[in-house]
Amino acid sequence: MLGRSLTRTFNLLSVFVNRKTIYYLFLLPAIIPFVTFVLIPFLYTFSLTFRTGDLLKLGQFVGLNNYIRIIHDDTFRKAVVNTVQFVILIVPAELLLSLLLSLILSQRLRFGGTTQAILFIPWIIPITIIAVIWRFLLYPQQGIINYLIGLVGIPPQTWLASESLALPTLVVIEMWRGIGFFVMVWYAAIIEIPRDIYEYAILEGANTFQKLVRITLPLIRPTFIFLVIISIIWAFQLFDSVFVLTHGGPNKATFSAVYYIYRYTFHVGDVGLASTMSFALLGMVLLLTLIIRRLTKEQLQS
Amino acid sequence: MVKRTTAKMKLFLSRIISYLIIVIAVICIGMPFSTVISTSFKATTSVFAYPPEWIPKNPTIANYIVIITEYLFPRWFLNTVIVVLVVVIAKVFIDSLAGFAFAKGQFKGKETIFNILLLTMMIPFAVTMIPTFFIIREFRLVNTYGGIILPMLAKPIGIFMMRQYIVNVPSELLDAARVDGCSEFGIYTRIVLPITSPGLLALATFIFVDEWCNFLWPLIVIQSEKMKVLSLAIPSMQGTWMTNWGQVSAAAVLTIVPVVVLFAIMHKYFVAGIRMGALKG
Repeated sequence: MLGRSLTRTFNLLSVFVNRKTIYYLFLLPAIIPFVTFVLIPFLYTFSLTFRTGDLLKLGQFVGLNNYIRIIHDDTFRKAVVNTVQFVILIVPAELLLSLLLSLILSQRLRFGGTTQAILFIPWIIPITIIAVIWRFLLYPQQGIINYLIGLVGIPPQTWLASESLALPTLVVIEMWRGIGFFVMVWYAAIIEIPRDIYEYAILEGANTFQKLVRITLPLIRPTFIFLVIISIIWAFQLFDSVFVLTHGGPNKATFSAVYYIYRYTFHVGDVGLASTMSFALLGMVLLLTLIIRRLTKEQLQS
Repeated sequence: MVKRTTAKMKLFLSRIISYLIIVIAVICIGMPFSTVISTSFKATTSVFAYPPEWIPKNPTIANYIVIITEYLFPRWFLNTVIVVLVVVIAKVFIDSLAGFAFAKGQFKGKETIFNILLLTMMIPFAVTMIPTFFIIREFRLVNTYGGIILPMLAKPIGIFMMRQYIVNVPSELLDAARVDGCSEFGIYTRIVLPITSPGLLALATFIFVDEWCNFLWPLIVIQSEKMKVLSLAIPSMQGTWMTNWGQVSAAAVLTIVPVVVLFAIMHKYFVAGIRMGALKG
């Protein structure tokens, strides 16, 4: 029904427009939400960085005042440091571990497909469910993780409630959540490499290590760059696990950049500072992406 | 002869190590799930038994009954299904149509529009979140399905996926249809959509998972209990001081099962979609 009436509408419209302009019509359903919910909000956020006010009433134009205020804001500094720490901890660990797993899986082991599917499950469930699971496992008194480390003689920890362990624990949880995706992408790239290259290398007397370093790794370089960039972007956006697991605590040990934006918008009621933070975040992400692009390009040329 | 046996031994050993690592990885990923499933069948008294009961000694489905009858869980489930289905159908239509225009259309400003879309992919949702909330509030869509759904239609990633797919459709086929008097929209519905159906399925699965897990936006736009989606529902079941872990686990299992079942069915398409998006993106 809907399909037919759509066809009719488009056919009617195409009487008035020629074949070239009809493509603008085809773009329209994509462009309208994009302009309303991405482009306009983006420009609006930029304008908010020059204003004060809260969710209910926006204040006046204050020039660069928000940018000056935010630099002197201890919570801002803490949030940036925490976020960068999180990125530095998780990105290399996750990339390496997933590369190792996908290299193993690419030997075409039995149950390889099933294994990949299992590794992927945490990726497809809502963070609130992940939070339930991990809060239960990490339960301070009689939790299963404390039971397990107790078996090897380590005293029980408070994990997410501990100032020093909270961020590393989040890193582990986020790795648990994301590893399946990274394995899947690495694996897809490794599998694409033609087999005869390896056969030729074996004829030339190459060992496993040489095959890895001389053939596999160089050939999956584009995937490597893609995964580095995307994992950095994601890691910088750390929010939902903070929100459901720690609320930025204890003592702001897990206060992340996006959590700052959320907190200052909806609880502190300072939309100007929140917007400024979101542009600081965008700046960090863009800068890092540019640096990686530049570095990887130079390496390609040399 | 000796050399061959050592080589065989080596291969055997490396296989053993490989399987060992894989088994450890699967246990690390799977153990939390097995725990939550087992907890969902436990009575409150045995949730924190010491040592832990990996398999409940006296399994009960009481938790599930409470979840379904005493909470708004069925309503939350319905909300989630409505939101996810609408987003999936709308997005598949929007993205494939736009992908078709970008892949096969020739019109002024094509490159510019495409590059703007590509560039804005870098913008985290957190940046546009506050004004998006203002706009939704202006439209009086806070606490409505429309409020959850509309901003989610703006993510451009599916357009790139579909463009990649449609570029590979031979142009001769489309030209032949044009000669036969088929309209551009007819070409889209009769040729492009059927040919790219694996891509459409991949995209649909991708969006389904994304939307099923979506948390930040519903958290902002939904305030009433009745309009909540599943990803928001669980926190409201956890008490401030006391959490009934059995009930919460049952709710968790009920939330996980549909998406895992779907993933199991669509696994192939999904992998193909990721491969397509990752390798060419």
